[in-house]
Amino acid sequence: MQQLGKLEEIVLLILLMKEENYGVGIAKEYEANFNQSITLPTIHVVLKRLDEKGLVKSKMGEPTAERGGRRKRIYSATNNGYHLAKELQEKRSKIWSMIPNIN
Amino acid sequence: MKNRPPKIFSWLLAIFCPQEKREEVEGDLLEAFYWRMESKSSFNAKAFFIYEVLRSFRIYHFSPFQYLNQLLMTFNMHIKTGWRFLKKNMVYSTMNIAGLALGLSFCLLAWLYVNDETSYDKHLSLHDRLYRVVIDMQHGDNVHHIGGSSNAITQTFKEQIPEIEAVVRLDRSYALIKQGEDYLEKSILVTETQIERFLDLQFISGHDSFKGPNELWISESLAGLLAIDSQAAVATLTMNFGQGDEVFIIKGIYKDIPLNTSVHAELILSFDYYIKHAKPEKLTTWFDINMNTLVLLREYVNVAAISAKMNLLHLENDPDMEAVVSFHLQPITDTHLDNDYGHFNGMAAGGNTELIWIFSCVGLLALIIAIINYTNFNISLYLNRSREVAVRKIIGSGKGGIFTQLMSESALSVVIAALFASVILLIALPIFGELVSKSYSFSELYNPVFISGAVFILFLIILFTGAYPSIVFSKLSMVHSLKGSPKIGSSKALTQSLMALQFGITALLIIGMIILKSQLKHLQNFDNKIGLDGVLYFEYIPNTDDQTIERFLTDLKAVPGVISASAISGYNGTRMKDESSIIVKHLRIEQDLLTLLDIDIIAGRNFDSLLQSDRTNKVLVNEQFLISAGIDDPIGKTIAFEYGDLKNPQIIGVVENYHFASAKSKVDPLVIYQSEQYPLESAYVKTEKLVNKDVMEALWQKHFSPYPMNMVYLEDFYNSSFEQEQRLMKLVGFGAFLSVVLAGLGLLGILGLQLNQKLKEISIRKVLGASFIQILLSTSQKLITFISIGTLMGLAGGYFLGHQWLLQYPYAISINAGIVFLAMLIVVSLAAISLFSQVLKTSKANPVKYLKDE
Repeated sequence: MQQLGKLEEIVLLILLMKEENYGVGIAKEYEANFNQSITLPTIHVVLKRLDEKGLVKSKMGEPTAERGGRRKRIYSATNNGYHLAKELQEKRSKIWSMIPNIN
Repeated sequence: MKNRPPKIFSWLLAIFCPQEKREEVEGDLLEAFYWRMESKSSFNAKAFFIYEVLRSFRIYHFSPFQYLNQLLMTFNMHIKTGWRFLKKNMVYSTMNIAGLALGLSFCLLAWLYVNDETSYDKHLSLHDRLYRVVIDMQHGDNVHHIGGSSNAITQTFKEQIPEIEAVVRLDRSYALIKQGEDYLEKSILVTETQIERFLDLQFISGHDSFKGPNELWISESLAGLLAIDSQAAVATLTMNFGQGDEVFIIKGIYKDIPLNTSVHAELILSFDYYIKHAKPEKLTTWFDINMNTLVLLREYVNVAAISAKMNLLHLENDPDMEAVVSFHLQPITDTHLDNDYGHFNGMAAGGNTELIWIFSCVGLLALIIAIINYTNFNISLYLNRSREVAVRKIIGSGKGGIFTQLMSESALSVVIAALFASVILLIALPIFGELVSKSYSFSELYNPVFISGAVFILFLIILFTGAYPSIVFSKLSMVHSLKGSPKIGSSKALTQSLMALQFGITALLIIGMIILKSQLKHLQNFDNKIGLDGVLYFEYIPNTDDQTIERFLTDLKAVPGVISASAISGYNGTRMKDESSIIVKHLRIEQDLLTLLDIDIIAGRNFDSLLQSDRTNKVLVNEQFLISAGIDDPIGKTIAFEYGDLKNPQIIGVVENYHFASAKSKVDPLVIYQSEQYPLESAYVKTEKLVNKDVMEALWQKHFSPYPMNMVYLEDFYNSSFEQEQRLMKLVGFGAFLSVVLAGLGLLGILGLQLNQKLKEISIRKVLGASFIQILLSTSQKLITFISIGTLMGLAGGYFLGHQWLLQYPYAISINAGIVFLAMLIVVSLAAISLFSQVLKTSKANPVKYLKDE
């Protein structure tokens, strides 16, 4: 089974939330969920690693005004990505279920 | 606050971000910036933007930045260790770097000279279309090269050859410029409008074409010297061409012509002046060569075809000419270094190809020696650091790391040496300029070609000095180095061969210097068969008539201390009218000349002042004349010599072969007469004691004012013809000195290195009772063999080169065993001193000290 870093996993999950997403969108989602800021270069590096592992794929999108007429690179999770994330979550919940209830 | 991301960082991103990433990264950062500005604050957005741009550098492998960073750190480290090392070995490093600096500065001087000499006329914007008309004239087997043409030739070419766009006639003249009460002698270029186009003249004031004869242009610096007001409406200059003062109008002031221009002038005078004062036949005679012609060809024309046309025009205009004449066009860029066609009539004095060659060779040799020396020396110095190198290797430095380290240290030393060298260069430049009779200014050093050449030389040095030690040390065995007994075995043969090469070069330069010196001494002590003692010589007496000179001589004879005074014409050459048709020199003399100069009559008699016929139809000849003309019993014979009114004269006596020029050339056949075919132009005065120069000056002023007096001792005049040899000797002498110093240093270094590796061996030998000589032989036998082979080869090379050089002299020394022996002695004693001192030092040391170790 492939190893995934913590940040890698989170970004993969965020990507799975929507059909597709891009750098700033991921950053917004991250900040909204964790209430903590993140820099774009960090996200770019993570996306690159995920891409190298074959968990995400990307294509160029349409230019928009707020980007000064530049196109965005749109990422979406691959099937491998989906299955890996799913497997990870299942394992976690399995483990979580074994934790005795403290309260 | 403006709501835009900081410009400078957007720019940075645009520069450093790789192309394929750029659109995504720029777009995302920009979008995030606007998003943060809305959701948070403008300040927050900006801070994040800047931070993100900077982070991008590290994260995205933006190649130049990361690589540079690493490189700089490594380099910084290397320089630091290198500097500490230099400081630790202060004395040796200083010696070593000083040696390199000396060699380098000499090499740079040579490069400066060669670059300057070969740059002539290449800066002219029209240089690829500018040519000089030159003529080859063939008489029998002899070809005379003539760099010049005539007025008629120029006019015809200009009118009848359509490929010629423009022509300019050049002549050189001398005049005295009046400055207050004084006169200043200046050389003047006589030429015509169009020259400003040929030479790219830039006028700072005025600039009118010449319309009359008495008009001129003047250079900025001369105008400054003469205090001419460039703003004045009409500026004039008073000059004297030997026919009294004349007034000239200044029509323009131009920026000084660069010194590396063949047509160089401080004053440019209208050619109409020349035309006005020349005899009409001089302007219309086809083959009366008295000027230079520069032609500007149209673009894309065939030069050979033009020469052919010129030759056809020549046949048309002068069909009766006996000699075979062919015209050529010489590119203006070739004129400076071409001494065959000479540099007369407006062309500045030419360069010296021989000197360029010798300079390049000596410069290169000096550099090679300096590099070898530095390398050898460095290895022995670095040996102390073999432990450091080994530790570095153990920690994990690869061969490449060690290599770059030693390379950067070598670069550091070379840069320091270059700084020293530039200081030496600045000091030596004026002295050097004097040596090669050039006026180099410091601005010459800013020449881009010179600088790029110098940088190239520096890189070569870094490469050569760094590469060898670096390779040796990166291969160094770690275990041996850590144990303290580094072995540099593989490089030994190479080191020794380098040493041999160095000694070879030294031997070559030393024997060269000895040969030069002996030859110069030989020439200076050569028996010219002329009594030079106490003879004063007035080299040139300006345009005047015989009567004035006679009066001058009479006055001279009245001065106390003067024994006699006499005058001669210049030496001229003419072809004999008989079938031998040899060229003979001929000379008009005054009565007392032969006795004054102590020239012996070996047959017949001298001229007799009482016999009127001696003044018209009698001649003396020299021995060489008899040999060349094949006359056995000369006295009373008439010869087929014709010049002016003097026809078929009778020989009354024979003089010995005296040298009227220095012994650098053979004595030509000579005919001496008293007949007045030529004006007198030089005077000799024999004195028995020192005569006050002021008295001479006063007499000169009385007869020839305003011309300045040009009196010298005849002995000095003869010696001045050896300037070239003296210059060469200084040059080679300096090279020899340099190589002796460097070779000595190098031997010391390399021997020290080798002996340090053999300390234990030497100690054991000593304990067993070896003598000093035995130790010397056992330790340095190989080195001595290599040095001997190198020296012998150098001597052989020097012998060969010296022999070639001596061929140009008719009276040359022969390179005998004494010369070779002397050179060998110098080299051997140099080697012996270095050898003995080092071996003595080692063999004096207490053997216990080295044997106790381990």
